[in-house]
Amino acid sequence: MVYSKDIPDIIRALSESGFEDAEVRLDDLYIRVSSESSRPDAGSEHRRPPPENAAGMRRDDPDGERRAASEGVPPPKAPQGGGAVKDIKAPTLGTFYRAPSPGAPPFVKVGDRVVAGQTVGIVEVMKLFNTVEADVAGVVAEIHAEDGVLVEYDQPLITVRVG
Amino acid sequence: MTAVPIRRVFVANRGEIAVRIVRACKEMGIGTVVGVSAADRDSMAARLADRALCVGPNSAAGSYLRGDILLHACRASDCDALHPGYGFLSERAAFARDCESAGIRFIGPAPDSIEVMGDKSNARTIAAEAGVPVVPGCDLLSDVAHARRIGETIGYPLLLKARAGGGGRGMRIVESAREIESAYQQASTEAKSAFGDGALYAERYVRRGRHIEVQVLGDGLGKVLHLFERDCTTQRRHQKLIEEAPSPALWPEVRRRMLDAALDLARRVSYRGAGTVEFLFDAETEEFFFLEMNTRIQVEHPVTEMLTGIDLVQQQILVAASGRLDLEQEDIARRGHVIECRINAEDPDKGFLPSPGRITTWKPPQGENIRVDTHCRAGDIVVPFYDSLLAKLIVRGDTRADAIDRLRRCLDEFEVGGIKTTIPFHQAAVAHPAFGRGTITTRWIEEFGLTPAA
Repeated sequence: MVYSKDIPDIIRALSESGFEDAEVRLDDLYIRVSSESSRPDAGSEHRRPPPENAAGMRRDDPDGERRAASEGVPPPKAPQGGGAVKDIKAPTLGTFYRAPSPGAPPFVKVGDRVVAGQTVGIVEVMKLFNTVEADVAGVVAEIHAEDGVLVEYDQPLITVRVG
Repeated sequence: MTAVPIRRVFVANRGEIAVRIVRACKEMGIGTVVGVSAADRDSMAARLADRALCVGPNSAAGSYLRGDILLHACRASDCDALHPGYGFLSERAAFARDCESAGIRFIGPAPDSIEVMGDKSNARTIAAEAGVPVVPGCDLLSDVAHARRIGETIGYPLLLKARAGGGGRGMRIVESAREIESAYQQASTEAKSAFGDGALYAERYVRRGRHIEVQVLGDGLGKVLHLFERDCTTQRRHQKLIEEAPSPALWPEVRRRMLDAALDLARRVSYRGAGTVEFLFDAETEEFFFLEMNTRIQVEHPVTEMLTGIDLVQQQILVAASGRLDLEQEDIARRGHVIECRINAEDPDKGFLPSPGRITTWKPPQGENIRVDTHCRAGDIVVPFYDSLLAKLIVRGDTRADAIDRLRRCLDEFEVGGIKTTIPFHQAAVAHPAFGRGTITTRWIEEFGLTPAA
C-alpha cells in the first residue's frame, strides 16, 4: 500500500536515480520522471488514488480561484535583493498544490534554496498529478499561487532569484 | 431529463463560433467561461466572455483537443454545461460521455447518437432502416458478371472503385453495359498494380451532384423538427465556400421528400439538439441520397437563422437545459433567400494558400439584411495554428437575385488589409453566370478552374 505521503520520497528517489526516464506502477499509482524538464508536458507525472486523502485539499472556492487567476497573469514584480529572477510557470491548467498531501509541509517556502529539477509543486488535472520543477538553481523569492487554487497554463507560480 | 436551468456555460472552442456561443448565452442571462490557448488569450471571445482561462499552448493538440484539461477548467470555474462548438471535440462521443459523468451537461446530442452517426457504415445502415435513400451500390464485386448484374439493377452510369483506392486510380466511370467488361478489367488491373489489390466496388455515379443538407432540431424524446435545407454545392476539395437557402435546385415536391427523410432519420435515433442531415442530390434524376449526419452546430448555421429567424445556438441551450423543444413545426417559416460566403485567410491566386499575418484594416460591410459573424478586429494577428476562417458574410434578399445583388455590394465593400482573403474568389464566383443560374455542381470550381482572373 502506497500512501500519498510516500509520493514525494518516490519522486525524489527517481529524480536522483540518474535515469533519463523512470516509471513506477503500483496498482492505481503511476509515477513517471523525465529529465527533460524544459518541455512543459514532459515533466514528471504521478497519479495518486485521490478520494479521501486528497479531499481535504479540494476547495470549492471560485473566488479564490478567480483571485489567483487574475493575480497570476501580470508579470510579477522584481523581488528585492537584485540579481536575475526567473518564473516557474504552470506546465498545464489545473489545481495547484504546494504540498504533496494535505497537512504536509510545502515543497518550498520563500527563502528556500532550490536546485534545477527539484519539485516545487504539483498541478493536478483530472486526477493526473504533474510535478512542477525548478528549471534553475536559486532562492525562492516569491510564491504567487495559493494551495488548492485553479491555475492557468503558463501562469507564473513561483519566482526564483537565480544563483 | 429534469429541467435544471443552466447558469454558466463553458465554451470549449475558439474563433467566431466561440464568440457566437458567448453572445447567445449573454442574451439568455447565462454566464460564460471560455477556454483559450496561449495564442488566443486576447481573442474576441476571451474579451466578451465573463472569464477566460488559458488551457494550454498554441497547438490545438495541447489546448482545444485536451478534453481532460477543458473539463477540469469547466468544473473548476463552476460551469454546469459545456458547448463544444464545431470541430475539435464536438463529435467525440467519449468526450460527451466524460462531460456527463462529471455532471456537466454537454450541449449537443446524446453520446450514443454521436457515436452511431460517426461511423459511416453504421449511419448508412440506420438511414436505410429509416427508409432514407442511400447511394445505390454493392459490397465487393466478385467478377465481371457480378458487375454486369449490379449495372442492370442500379442503372448506368456506374462508378467502379478500388477497395484499396485513392487519387482516382482503380476508378472508372461506366456509361453503359457495353463498356462494363473493359472498364472492369482496366480498373482491376490498375488497382492491382497500384495497391496490390484488384478488388472493386460498384456504386451509382452521380454526374451532376449537389450537396444539400437539412437542419433538424430534436428534444431527445422523439419530437423532431426541420428548419428547411441549405445548399452547399459551392465547394473546393470538399470544403464548403458558399451556402444558401432555399436550394435553387429543388422543386417543392422533392424538397418535401428530402425534409421528410431527414425527419425520419432524426426520429429514428430520437435526436437531441441541433443536427444536420447531408444529402447528395442528383440534378439529372432529381434523386437524393443520404451522405452523413453531423451531430453538432454547423459553420453555416446562420443561413438557417436568417432564413427562419430562429436562433439555433439558443435552441441548443434550451433543449440541454429543459429537455424540451418548445417550438412547433408550424412556427417555422422561411422568409426570402439567404446566401453565406466564408471569408478565409487564404490567397485564391495561389491555390488558396493560407495567409496568416496581422490584419491592418478590417471594415465589414453594413446595412439592412446583412450579418457578419467574425472574431476579427483590426490589429489582430491571424495565427497559423488553426483553421483559416475569418468571417462569415450572410445576406438576405426577397429573392435569390436580390440576395446576389446585395452580396456583390457587400463583397465590394468588405475591406481587409494586411492579409490575403477569399473575398476576390467570392466576387468572381457570385458574378459567374452559372452561379446566377443555380446550375452548378460540387465539381464546379475544380472543373472551371474558377479564379478571380477568370
